[in-house]
Amino acid sequence: MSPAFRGHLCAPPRPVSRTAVRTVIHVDMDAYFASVEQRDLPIYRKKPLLVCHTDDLSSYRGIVAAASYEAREFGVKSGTSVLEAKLKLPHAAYIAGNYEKYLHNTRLLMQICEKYTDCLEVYSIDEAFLDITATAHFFGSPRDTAVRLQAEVAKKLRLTCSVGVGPNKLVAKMASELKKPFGLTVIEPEDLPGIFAPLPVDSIPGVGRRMRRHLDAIGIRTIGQLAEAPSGLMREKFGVIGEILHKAAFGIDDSPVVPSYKGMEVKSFGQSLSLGKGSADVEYLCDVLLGLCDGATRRMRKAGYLGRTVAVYICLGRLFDLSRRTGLGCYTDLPGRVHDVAKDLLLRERASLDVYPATKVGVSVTNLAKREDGQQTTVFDVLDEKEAAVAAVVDRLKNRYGEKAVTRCSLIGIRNRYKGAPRAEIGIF
Amino acid sequence: MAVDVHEPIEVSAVFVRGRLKPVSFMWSRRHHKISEITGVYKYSAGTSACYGYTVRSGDDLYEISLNTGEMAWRLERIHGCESGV
Repeated sequence: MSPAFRGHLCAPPRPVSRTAVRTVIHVDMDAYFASVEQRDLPIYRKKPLLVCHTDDLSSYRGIVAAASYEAREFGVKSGTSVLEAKLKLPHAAYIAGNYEKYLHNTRLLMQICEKYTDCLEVYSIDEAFLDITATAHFFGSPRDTAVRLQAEVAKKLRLTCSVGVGPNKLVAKMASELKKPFGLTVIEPEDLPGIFAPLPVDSIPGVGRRMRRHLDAIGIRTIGQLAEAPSGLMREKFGVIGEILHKAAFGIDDSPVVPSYKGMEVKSFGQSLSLGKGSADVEYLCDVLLGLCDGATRRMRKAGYLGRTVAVYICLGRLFDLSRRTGLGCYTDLPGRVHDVAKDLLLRERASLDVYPATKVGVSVTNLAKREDGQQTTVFDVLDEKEAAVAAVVDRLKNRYGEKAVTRCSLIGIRNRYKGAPRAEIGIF
Repeated sequence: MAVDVHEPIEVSAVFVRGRLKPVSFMWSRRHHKISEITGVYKYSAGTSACYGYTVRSGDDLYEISLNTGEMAWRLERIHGCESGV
């Protein structure tokens, strides 16, 4: 579910004047990572550039994190696998993402946004919602505010963003998607039916491929058709989500803009790794899982969370995805215990792995509680004392010297084994 | 078009209006004069503040970084024709 809807469930409504018409701006950076690189590395300007999330650019592993607009003309977009991108665009420039650089630019972006509102929600690394109900009059109208904001981002960051203005987060987000790049769309409540009705249902944030298929099966392809569907049918077919979707078709969304300092509720901590052509070597996959458990639990400890449910995600041969989850019986933030359970879940799928190699594995810890809320002590807590002490030392080392400062002995060779694994071949699909 | 290097380098830099500006660096026994700084960003590695610079020297672009905790410069990556890729 999209955070726009999640916010509705976990944040208190913001007090606003009864006479003020609610106005929300959604700022979305255009091809963010690729634009930052094209700005800093002029040799890639006006050329297809793909910023990839991978540990080895010479391989076909990983995914495209951002594609420049020149690359998008060839059908490559973010989320495309590197393998598929190289088939479509063999001569494009491929570079590894520099997330420190993007975060630096995000911080600058948010500093600019903060000038225009006292209620700013950092929605993702390249998106933000601004509730300008109480502040728009300082800059003229909501449109004037959006124009000034867009111009300031262009001037100070030398990057373009698309801006949507609407009566709520849902409409503002959909508005910013309508004109890209460097677009500005203001949607008044009375214009909603005319603009939204012809759009496909997956224009609604949160409607993915699967939901689109379900809706298609009952003859709903556009937002207009969704609005005309009986709300009882939507509730019967899709439960609470159906009701929210039906409201969304009318542009109704009561979710508040949640200032970042109030924080959004964290649901899970997870990490995954794409394995190119894949591997059926269970021992190797268990080691990969250990690295992923280390990463996920490190972030949990940093944020002060404990979890009691472990889920393992495996993509089998690019054909099937499977997800298995189980309870831990107690709260933990230690990699060892999470890995023990994750490994069991993986080993239960040994038969499937013999047929289809795993091309991606992931682990996530859910059912979270804040550490300061206290946890029930179990016999495992006594057994985990040693691991907790080791984890604390590792955390201190990483805090001081960086994330790559220390790793497990058992993970040292994994990179070489990984690189030695057979690579995907062009033309296998 | 990009080559990862991640090697320590020697950099000459000056302070201009409170900001550090690298002007040249030595790498592979060659002196590279920086003609333009095309990008700067700040990040942290552990407790140390670090600065990443993208600089132009000749036709190539170089990503260099300064770790203020260790006061050490590194050449991270080269983009361009002279990198031979």
